[in-house]
Amino acid sequence: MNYKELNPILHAPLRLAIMSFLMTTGSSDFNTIREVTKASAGNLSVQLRKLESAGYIRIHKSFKNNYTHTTVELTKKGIDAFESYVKTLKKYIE
Amino acid sequence: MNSKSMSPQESLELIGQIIEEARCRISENGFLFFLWGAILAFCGIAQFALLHSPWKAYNYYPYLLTIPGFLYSWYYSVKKAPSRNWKANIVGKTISWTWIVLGSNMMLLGFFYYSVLKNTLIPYLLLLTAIGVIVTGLLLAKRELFYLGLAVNGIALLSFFAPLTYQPLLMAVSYIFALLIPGWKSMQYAKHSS
Repeated sequence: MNYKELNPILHAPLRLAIMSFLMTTGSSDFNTIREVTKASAGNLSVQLRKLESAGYIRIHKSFKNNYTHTTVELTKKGIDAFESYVKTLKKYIE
Repeated sequence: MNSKSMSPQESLELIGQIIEEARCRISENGFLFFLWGAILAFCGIAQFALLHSPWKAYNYYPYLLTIPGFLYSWYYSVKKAPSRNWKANIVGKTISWTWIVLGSNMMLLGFFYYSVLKNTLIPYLLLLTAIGVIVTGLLLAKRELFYLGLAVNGIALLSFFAPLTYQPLLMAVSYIFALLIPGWKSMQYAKHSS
């Protein structure tokens, strides 16, 4: 079945898991998201970049104890897109 | 994470699973709720017993237990919390700071403002607790906790009219239901899901 109305950026398991997690926490760090989604570091980076280029998240990089610390934060655009995605999902189910 | 195309039902299930996982991570494991529920319930029961005994004059002594409780909570949060992820996000931070501010105010009121507040002290402490429980319940979307907070708020308002000697008992009951039991449940949940 083809779910044309569903936002293709969100309608992918890993990206949807990232967005669902951020919808609850607002922001988080790379390692926590990796633990929750059980994704590989490479795949997670790729998916995060896709979400960032869609304007759904903001990625901040900083240094903590000489290691790169990546923080990911949900944007207003991301929240709106997620809510609209869930609404569309519910429409399909009904 | 599987990259196959999902049905709307599968998408909703995935969202539900991840949100549940997120809630567990941001609510630590319930230990601090359990600890403070136990300490304050003990203080209330001990004070009630002392008020109805020949050692009435020592009825505030049990509250000294809150000092090591406060120090241990600080040590636990900084060094021993099993999942420190709950402090690395907005929701976890908001809950932590709400309780730090409420808890500090409760300690200050209890130890330094008794002479001003007298028989309104316990009702005010319960009102502050109710705020914390309601905020925690709302942020973690735990309906049960939210309603328990409202119940504590109701008990706090009623306790303004309760005799001073029975207020500690109301306090103990409130802390057993609003902190001790939810904390114990969260700890059990965390143990089984880890």
